[in-house]
Amino acid sequence: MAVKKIVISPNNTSAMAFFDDLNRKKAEMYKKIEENAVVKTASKVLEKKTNK
Amino acid sequence: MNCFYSYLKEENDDDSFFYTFPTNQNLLFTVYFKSYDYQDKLENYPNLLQNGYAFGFMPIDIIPNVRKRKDSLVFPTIYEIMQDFISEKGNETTLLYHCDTLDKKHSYRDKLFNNWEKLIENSNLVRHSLKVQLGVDENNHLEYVYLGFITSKNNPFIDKIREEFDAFQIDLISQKQ
Repeated sequence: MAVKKIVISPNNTSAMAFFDDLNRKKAEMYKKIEENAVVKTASKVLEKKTNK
Repeated sequence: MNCFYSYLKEENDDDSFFYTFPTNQNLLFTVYFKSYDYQDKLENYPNLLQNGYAFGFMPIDIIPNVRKRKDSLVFPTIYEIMQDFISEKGNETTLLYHCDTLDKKHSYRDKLFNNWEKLIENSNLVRHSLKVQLGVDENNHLEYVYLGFITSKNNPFIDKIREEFDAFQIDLISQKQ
């Protein structure tokens, strides 16, 4: 048997805090990627290529 | 899986890695691997954590508002990148992923992962996934997130990792006082 799904009660504050923290860390990572110099340069190069 | 997009790899000072590749449909993908993201929660799970990296990807749309077709090269490229990372870090490496709720596309991403699982069935990778129901969103729809790990079938600690992931599920549903 394998666990297919788990349901977290809204009053399970520790689990809710864990998922909030995961979301926060992922948002930080997305911001870091958007600010990455390589990503910024590549975006500009590709945009220019596409608009030619 | 022989055809894939060419990619660029960067390493940061904090042991995080970024792989970037553009697609034919004007998306710029970044695949990331970041160590220690789960350390505070998983300190009791040494096999999951010791060689664990947070894994995810983010597409940036260079030309927004243009409908994108299904791109059969995206998965092979991410697969190549996972292979590159695991071959560098070793078979003990565990990639921990979390389909987030930030853009409300986590269900879509899990479907994507499920489709990919079919494609990697014959590869040397294995995936273990868990669906978590967190409540309801503002539209009264059930809200789910997805957690899981991907590792090599040759990971010598695979059984212990599975056991620790099962224990982690129990930990999640145990209400702390």
